[in-house]
Amino acid sequence: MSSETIFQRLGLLAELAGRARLGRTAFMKLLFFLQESKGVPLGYQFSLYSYGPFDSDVLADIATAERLNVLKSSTVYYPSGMGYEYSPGSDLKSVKDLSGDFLEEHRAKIDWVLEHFSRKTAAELELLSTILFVAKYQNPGTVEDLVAQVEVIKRHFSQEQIRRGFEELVILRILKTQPVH
Amino acid sequence: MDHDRFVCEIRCPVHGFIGMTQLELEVVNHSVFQRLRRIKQLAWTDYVYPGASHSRFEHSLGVMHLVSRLYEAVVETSGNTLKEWFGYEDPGLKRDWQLVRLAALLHDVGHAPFSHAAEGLLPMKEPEDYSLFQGMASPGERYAHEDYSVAIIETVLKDLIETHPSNRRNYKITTDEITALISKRAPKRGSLFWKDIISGQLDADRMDYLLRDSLHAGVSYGRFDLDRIVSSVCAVRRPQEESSEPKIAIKRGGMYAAEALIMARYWMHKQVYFHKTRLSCDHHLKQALGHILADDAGDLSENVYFPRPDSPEELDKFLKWDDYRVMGLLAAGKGGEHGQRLMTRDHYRLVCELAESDDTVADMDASIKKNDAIVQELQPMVKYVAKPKPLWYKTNRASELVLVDNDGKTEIGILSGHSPIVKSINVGYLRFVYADKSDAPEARAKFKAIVERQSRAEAMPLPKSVAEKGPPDVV
Repeated sequence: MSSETIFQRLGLLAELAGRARLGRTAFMKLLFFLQESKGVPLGYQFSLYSYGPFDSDVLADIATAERLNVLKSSTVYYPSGMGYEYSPGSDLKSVKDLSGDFLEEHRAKIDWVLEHFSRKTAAELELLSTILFVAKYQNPGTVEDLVAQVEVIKRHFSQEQIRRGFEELVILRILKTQPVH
Repeated sequence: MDHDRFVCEIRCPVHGFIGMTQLELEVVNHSVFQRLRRIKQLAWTDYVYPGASHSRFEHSLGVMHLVSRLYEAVVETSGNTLKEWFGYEDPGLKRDWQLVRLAALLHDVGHAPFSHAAEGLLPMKEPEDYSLFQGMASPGERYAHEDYSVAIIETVLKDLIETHPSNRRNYKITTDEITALISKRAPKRGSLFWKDIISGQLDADRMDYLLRDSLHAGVSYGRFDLDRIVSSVCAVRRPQEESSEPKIAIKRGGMYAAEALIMARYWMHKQVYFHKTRLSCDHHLKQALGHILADDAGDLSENVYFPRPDSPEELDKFLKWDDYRVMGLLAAGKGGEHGQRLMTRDHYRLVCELAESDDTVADMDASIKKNDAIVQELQPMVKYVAKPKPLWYKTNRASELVLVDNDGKTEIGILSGHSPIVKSINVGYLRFVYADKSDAPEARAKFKAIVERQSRAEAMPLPKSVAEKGPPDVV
């Protein structure tokens, strides 16, 4: 991994945190959408877990950003536990400067991912990213097949919810309804 | 669990006796698994630590043993969570015990000769023809050993596993379920939850290799309190805002053992996996193997790779590659210049190890530029620059573990948030600069002179007028 890639990744985290209040799951899934649907070259290797696509390098980058004062974390308490939210840190601008033209080059894609995904709950993001992962990496032949495969992974979502998630990704032109042969 | 189904035991230097079911025994006796006896776990690390010549075979058995200890501990501690969330009943838990053990046993069955050292010579994947996806295709991706493991399980071992009487009668485990736990994708049925203890944040694979590599290398850096970790592992459902699915977590009482696990990874990388001579040998091996593959294919172009995993014929050819074959070819002089270097231990010598500061963004940027300049100035003596993946990425995985109170339910944070030791591990972007043995003394002297010059310059900043206007013109 080159130092250029590091600064690009940190710059992107800074950009996202500067424009939305995001937790760790949201960062993970937004970066997944950017790389896997929009082709932004981030170099992550996502694998599918029960909580959706995941790469521990994303968490390592978040921790690095926090250590370098690019991001600041705050603990958020919920009735059943706790989570973390991130906001811009004091060194946000310098890391964005060091990421070169990368942010400008991908500006429209970053705007797109923030517009469509930054306000979703972690559970919604887990479902949508799992649908995309299955469609791309398990390549089901039909929508029914896709829904069935996602249902196995996300047991607590109904077929109807999965289908609605699929349709949302079709509207966003990430997925398509019919295979083209 | 089904320990009464064990039909034999194998003595392991790390874990003591490892029991095996009849199905596991037959998998172990299959030629594709026996091949792992001929693939060294740590490639050429025995050029540094002579005892480190152990194989993927014993590691795979160890991971199977360890994964079932973790599995049983999670079931004991968090059985109710698993039953509520996944709908498990006792027979289902017994079944998945066997599933997880098979996945662990077979997770490395697709390794190329000399394990990770040869992975740069695995071929690129073909672009997919998607049915429902219309976003941007991913840039070209290289096959990984996991892809070969999946192909071997899905083809060569499929009949043995799926039609085995014990499996048919008791479990009905499919190879699809096994491969989903060791690859990036999901199964067509069954749960992905157990992936976390095979290749997740607290997994049997890493725990076994740290203990095993440490033992065989004869170093103590990789040791940690395994029993405490096993007794502290549990499953926890996190708040909906963070994740809707249960995750593997560790109880407060196991926090220090988890810290020690992370430190073990850190030290093992610093002392063994990133040892200067090992990194150099990995480079020579990759070059020598490239030469051997080209020679074998009768194609002396530089882009010859191992056979692909996506056809039975090619997979069969791949399975014929192991360390013995490569060593034979090296001994026969087929490895070119780099093969000769390996055979005579005439590897490139380290000139300097360059670390990059990560105190601030500006420091990191400045040190990267400084190191670029050093490497540039050492030319043309530099033969190779190794840039292993930063240590932080190697250790971070477990540092993000969810911590829960000793009740096994109440989340109290993540490990890195509670551990100043873990937080203090630096990002560690390292560069190892190598030269030929004959050039190394001169290159080292030059490096020393560069560092002394830089130190003097930093100690005595330029006078303001010079710094602003630049140096005077030389006449």
